[in-house]
Amino acid sequence: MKSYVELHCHSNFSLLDGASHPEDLVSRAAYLKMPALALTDHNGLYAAIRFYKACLKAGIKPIIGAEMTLENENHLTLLAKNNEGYSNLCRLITRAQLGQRKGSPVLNLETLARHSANLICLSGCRKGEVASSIIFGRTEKAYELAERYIGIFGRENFYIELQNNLYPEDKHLCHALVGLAEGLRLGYVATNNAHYARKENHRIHDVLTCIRDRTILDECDSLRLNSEFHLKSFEEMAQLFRDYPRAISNTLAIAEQCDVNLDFSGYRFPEFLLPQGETAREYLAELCWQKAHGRYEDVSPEVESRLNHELNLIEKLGLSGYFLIVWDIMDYAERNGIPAQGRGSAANSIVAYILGITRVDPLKNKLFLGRFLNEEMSSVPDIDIDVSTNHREKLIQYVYGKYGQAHTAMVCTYVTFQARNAVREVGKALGMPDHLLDRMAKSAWVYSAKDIEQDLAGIEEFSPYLKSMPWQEFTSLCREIYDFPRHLSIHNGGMLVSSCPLTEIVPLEKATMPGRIVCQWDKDSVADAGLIKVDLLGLRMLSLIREACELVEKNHDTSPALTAVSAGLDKLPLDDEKVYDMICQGDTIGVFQVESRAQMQTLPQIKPRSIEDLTIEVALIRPGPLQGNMVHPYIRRRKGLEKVTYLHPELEPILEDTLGVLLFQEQVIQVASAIASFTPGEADSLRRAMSRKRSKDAMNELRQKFIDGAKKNDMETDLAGRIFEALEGFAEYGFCKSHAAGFALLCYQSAWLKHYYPAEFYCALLNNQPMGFYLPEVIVRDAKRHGIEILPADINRSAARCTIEGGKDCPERRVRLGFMYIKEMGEKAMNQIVAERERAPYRSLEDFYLRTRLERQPVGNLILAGAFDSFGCQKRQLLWQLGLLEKTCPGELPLRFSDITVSLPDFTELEEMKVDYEVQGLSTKYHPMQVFRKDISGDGLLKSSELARFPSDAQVRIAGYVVIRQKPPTAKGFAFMTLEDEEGMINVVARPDVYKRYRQVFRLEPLIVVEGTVQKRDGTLNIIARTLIPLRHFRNAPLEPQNSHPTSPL
Amino acid sequence: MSKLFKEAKRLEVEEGVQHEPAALLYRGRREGVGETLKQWRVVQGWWRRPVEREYFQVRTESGTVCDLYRNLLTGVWYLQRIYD
Repeated sequence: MKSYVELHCHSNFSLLDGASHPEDLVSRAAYLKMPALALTDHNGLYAAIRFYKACLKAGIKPIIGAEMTLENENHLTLLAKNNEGYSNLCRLITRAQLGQRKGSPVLNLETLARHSANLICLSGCRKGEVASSIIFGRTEKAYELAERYIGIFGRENFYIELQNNLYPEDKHLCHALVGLAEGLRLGYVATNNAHYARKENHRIHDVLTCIRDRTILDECDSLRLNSEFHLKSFEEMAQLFRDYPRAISNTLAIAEQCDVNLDFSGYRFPEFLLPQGETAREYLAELCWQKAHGRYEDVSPEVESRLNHELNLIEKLGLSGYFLIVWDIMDYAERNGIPAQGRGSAANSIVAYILGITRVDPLKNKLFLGRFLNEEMSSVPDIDIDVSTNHREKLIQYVYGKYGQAHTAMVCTYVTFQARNAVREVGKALGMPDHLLDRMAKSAWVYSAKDIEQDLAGIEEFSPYLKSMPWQEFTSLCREIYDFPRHLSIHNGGMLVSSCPLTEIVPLEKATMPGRIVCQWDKDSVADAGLIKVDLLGLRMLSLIREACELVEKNHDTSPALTAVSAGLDKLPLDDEKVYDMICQGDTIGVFQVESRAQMQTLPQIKPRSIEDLTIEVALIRPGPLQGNMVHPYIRRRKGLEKVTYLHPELEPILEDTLGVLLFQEQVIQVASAIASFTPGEADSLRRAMSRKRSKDAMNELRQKFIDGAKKNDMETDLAGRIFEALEGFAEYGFCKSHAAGFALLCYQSAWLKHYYPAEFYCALLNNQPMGFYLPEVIVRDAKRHGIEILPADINRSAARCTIEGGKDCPERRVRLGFMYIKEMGEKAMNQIVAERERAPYRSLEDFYLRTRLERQPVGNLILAGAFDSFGCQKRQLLWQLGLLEKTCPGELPLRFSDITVSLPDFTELEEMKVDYEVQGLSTKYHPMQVFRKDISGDGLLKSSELARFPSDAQVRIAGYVVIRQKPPTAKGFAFMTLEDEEGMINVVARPDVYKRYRQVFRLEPLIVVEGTVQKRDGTLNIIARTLIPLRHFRNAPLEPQNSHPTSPL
Repeated sequence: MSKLFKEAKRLEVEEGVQHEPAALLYRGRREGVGETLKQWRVVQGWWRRPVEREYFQVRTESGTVCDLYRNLLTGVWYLQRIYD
């Protein structure tokens, strides 16, 4: 049979050593008419599921294998014959990965021998032990090694691997290896050690090699000699191995023997330990009925009926155990004071609500179950849990403890090459100038490396380069490297828990975090393998709310709201007018989900006055709905400028809450059920089919089904078609209502804290960074605008984290910056400062230094941040003193010579602000505009506070410090910027032509002068920019921005 | 011992069906290729000055062993080395 199967093939999941996506390899193999293809990435099965799926789709047999690195750095190719062999492969990779330091997996022979059953072993490439012994002239040794592998795998499972990549020694090596195989009565087999699908991919392989070796192409000494490491046809391989036809036919014989099934749905989750004699269903029902009274004062027939319905459905889907597992985790969280709540579609479930998994009542919020659970669903519904970031580790440890290390691992994620890192790393490999690459990377707006050429070509300063051949090559390589995995990382919260030991299903390896283990699959692979993960996602807003509540309890003696605070705000009434007033004004920096520029601009228009309105606000102002043209119709209807209409009366009860506008995914399902009598499962399939990766055929089929169903309900085809189009136009942008409802609750709670307890709110906000849209410097200034003073760190007052000063006896509360904001302050140093201070306050820098003996850098930064200002000395003087103190030895009395004291000038305002930014990324004292305004030569510059008095269409000129720059892909070329000056914020809109003209100013300058027109609408004020000029052009002593600290406005 | 030409010498070569050398004309003499001892391919320098060559180490019918290559971009043959 004229066929060849490649049995040694690397995808780009052989990180930085493979130059094709698994799917591209499969599609090439199918084109070359290979009946099967093996994937043998280095020490890993990262891409096994993607590869497996792609093979099944292409109609070729997937062979799962790996190229293992042995202790002596030699390579060995292993292929799984069946699922037992596959499990052994997982065990071997896990042992190799966990036995060594991260990133250097090696396998020892004892382990190999222990788990060799049902594996086929190929002797490896020229780095294999057998081949390399021959290359180095140690033929006898090669025979000995081959005999050893025969001992491990058996003669029938060990093959001598022949490769001819047109290297000078290949012909002789193949000849010698065939001689050895024949001498030992072993089979031999040809492989091409493929590292990419097509010949032309060798260039990107060379680039990856340079990235791996941290060098440039001109200096790289580990590039391959040629471009022969691609998938080759039968004809090409038969010609290369014309002297050894059996080497080709054996590829088919081996492929015949391999058959692995990667559906692990039978192992999806562990048995939940039940009270004796009870089934999971009984126990789940018992818990629900017990707890129903905790959630509902009156367990109404409606509650009973919904609960019964769900419990039956859960049992029918075999998910009772799964719900118990999730309940158990949440129960632990509750018992241990860990703020956590279910997110996503799970909030549609009354069982989840009653069990305390979610916090939103699905009945009160009219949440539709079919989006989460329905009879026809084939996959397990995800229950994702948001957990306070500060407490997340404790919950993770609980899951590890409960199900055991062997059954539990974190899901991994792959950091991939996207526009910016592609520009930097590909450019560096090609030897392009660093400064140019840096500017290009910073200038790139697009996320995908595929679009980088088009993006950069629009910038005048780059266009001459991009027309030249080397830069053309550069952009073409950036396109090619798009979405390649760069390295492994740990998923934000996904935990894989299985009923059988995980090492039988997926290899495990070390994460960067000490002691943390990750599996080699990402969330998609886990789902595609039929497994489930429990997502424990760190949510800093939950940490903030918890911390702010604790601070309120600590700092307030009597407060009407204290009861609500003590209960973690769970029982807070959601109808406080003052809170909604604040939200409606767009005064929402730090408020969950409604603090973006777009949210701030729409809040005064939509004017949310209830938690239901907030649910809509959270779901509406997002890129999807904006792109789907849903926002403006809703706003017009909300303002009464447009009549609320429905395409059909049946739609009214479904869409009335959103004023006739399709907004939630649940509504799609409900519309399909009401109009075309779709079952919940069919309707959910429709929702899924309308996702971004929609297939035209599938959509046409569903459309017909929808129209047929509507016809049966006496609806005209034309109207049914229009309703379907409305669903189609919307669905890919829709948001899950239950998820929005959960987030709306946090939005309200954070707004309530900001309004009633601003000091505690800002303190907790600063302690839980990074979070949300704004940098700490913006938060500090927002706090000041709300009358909360943020004080600099002080050596005798600050703790590691930010703290409240004032306490119960003082109504005026201020926030003291914590040491954690100062660079180079490690946890140990911070603890030491505080512990030593508890013995006695520090009396001077000298006293501090002699008692703590911290290193120069953190002490210097403390001085620069003003932590010693209370001693009344200038910062320069203190730095001088620190230099002298450093020269004293421990135990030695400090020497003081009056003749070496010097008089040093104190910092200017500018210098002081500069060092503030350098050592802590913000200044509690100065705003950049306040400092620079004195220095600006131009006249007629307005302040933000002066803008309000100008009418619409007035021409103004204003300068500010850029706090946000946005150019959403949905905004049709418009770009948005929020500037800030010493008195407030300024919203700037750049039309496409203006953006195009001033793109580099918009993108790169920290301080900008804007000339433009005032636009006032619905309580918002924007400047429609005409020109954007770097502020440094107006300054008397300009400074180049690229020479400054990255976070500094200088 | 061998003689490596610092600058490879252009060579007339009669090719077989797979572009393998069948005979070479060197210093006016035609030498048939008796045996191909090695064959290798070099593809490098694509980012600056592309080099794509198919090398052959052959023993001529008269017993001379030499390395020659065909420039894959131009199809021109060169003699790189002669072994004593």
